[in-house]
Amino acid sequence: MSPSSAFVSRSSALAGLFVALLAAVPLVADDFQLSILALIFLFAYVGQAWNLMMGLAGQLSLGHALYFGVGGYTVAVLAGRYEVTPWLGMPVAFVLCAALGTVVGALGFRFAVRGVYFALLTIAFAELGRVLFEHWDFVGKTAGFFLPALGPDNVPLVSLRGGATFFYYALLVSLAACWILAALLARSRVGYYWRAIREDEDAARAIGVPAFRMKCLAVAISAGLTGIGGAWFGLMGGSLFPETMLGMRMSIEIIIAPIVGGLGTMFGPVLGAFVVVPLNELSKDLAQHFNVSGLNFLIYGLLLGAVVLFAPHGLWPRLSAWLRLK
Amino acid sequence: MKLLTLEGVSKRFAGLKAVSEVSFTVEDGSISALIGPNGAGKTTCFNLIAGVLAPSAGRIAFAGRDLAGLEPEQICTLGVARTFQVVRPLAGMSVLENVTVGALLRNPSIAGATGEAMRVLEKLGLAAKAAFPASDLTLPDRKLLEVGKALATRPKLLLLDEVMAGLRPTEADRMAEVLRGLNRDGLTILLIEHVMRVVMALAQKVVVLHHGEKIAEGTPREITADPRVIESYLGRRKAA
Repeated sequence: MSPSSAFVSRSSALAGLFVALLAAVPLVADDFQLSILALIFLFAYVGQAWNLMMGLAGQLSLGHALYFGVGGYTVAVLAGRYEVTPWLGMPVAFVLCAALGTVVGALGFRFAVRGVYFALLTIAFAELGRVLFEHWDFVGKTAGFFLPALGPDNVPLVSLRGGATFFYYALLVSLAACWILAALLARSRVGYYWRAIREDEDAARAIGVPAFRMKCLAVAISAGLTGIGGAWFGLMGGSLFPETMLGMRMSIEIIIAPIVGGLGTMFGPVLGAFVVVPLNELSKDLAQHFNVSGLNFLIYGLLLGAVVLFAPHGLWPRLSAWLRLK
Repeated sequence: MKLLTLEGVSKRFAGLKAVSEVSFTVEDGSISALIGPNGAGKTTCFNLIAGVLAPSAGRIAFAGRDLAGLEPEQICTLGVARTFQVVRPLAGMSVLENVTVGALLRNPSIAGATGEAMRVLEKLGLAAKAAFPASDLTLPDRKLLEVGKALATRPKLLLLDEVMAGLRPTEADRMAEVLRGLNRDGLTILLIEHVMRVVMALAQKVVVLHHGEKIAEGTPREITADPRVIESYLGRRKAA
């Protein structure tokens, strides 16, 4: 057994314990705490989805808000306008976002746009998406799209909408599923190929790695999963605005947790989300309390600076060394 | 049988002719060498064969199949593997994982590919360092790893770009022994090499490039006696 797969199986055991502990939390936590935890799970989930593409395959996307937004609007519009259950809407969102990601990826990779230039391309597509949604009557333009209020006969397991406890469990399950998928991918042939591409694409191709196909696959899976994350975000909030769903800020929020936690690690995005989301909420409160707009960005900046200084490879590699997991 | 055929192959870079109407063949089961001064177009030739570059003119065929328009990974799948002059380990992966990536080409299961990679490492004498991060290897071991990654793809033809450069004589002899063993097992080898001692000992046929053109072709004995080769590359040795 290779050292990395030994690490993965030990990590899996640890993750199982972690999930079991988390499943018991609603017994003691109040609704506000649960909704913050649900948000943490959501950003851990999309962080892991982004991490598949960046941490494993080495392809930098700064425009994941595109998939987040398109997935969110797809499920919300299908549910709000056509009464299609998100159980169906989410697979549709996954396929749509995966297809969209494949188009963006294929365009970039076909013309050998690499590194930061590829990242710029992803920003351009995300901004294009935002502007499109801001001018599209069907989704309510900048005024937003609103899901109908929940009736008294709402069944959360059908509408996939409900109270804090429901979203807590729903996102915990989504995160666990995404985590398992990422772990399986990482130890599969595809995972080896992605890491080889991340380390040296030309050297990888020289030993038979079909780089173009593999990179497109990475974007497709990452984008599809992110679309489902956006769907949960829309269902939780009940309202969707192009600026919130598809804006540059969302693209950044998606990537901060995995960067702070540790790129390319299995626990990084989760740990990062546990640090970043509460800090973000706290800083928003502070900004409101002192009536200083932008204070939360300042705190974000300081946090990132601190991570770069003290844990340049993210918090998880530091923590796992300290816990002697490796 | 001719395993590899180059016919009138040229490559121009913005007016500069890096390779000019080069033709030669590599016999199945042979060890051949491509030699010449720096800038003669040897590595460009490799890049043309491996599909990294497309020839401006001419034709390259492997096992009777035209390689025109094929991507590097497709050419590797056909059975041509190459090493890079400047070694390119997958630095963030272990030695074993590096070779496993190559083995996955013919062996889709991780367990099977890992086993095959381990056997390749044993053949190269790298097995004890399998768990090392590739970035921790010394230069001679990196060169071996480069060969290991290529071998794991089960090539019919192995292109070696200066695998001896930077090795001490004993290390070079060990590498030569490894290559001779692989050749005995049926692998065809084309190598770019500056260490003439190695070329003389290994190659049955030598092709000499100079300024992108082929100036000579023959057995090592014929080549070392060729006045044009002596003039442009080997130089005259003063009587000791």
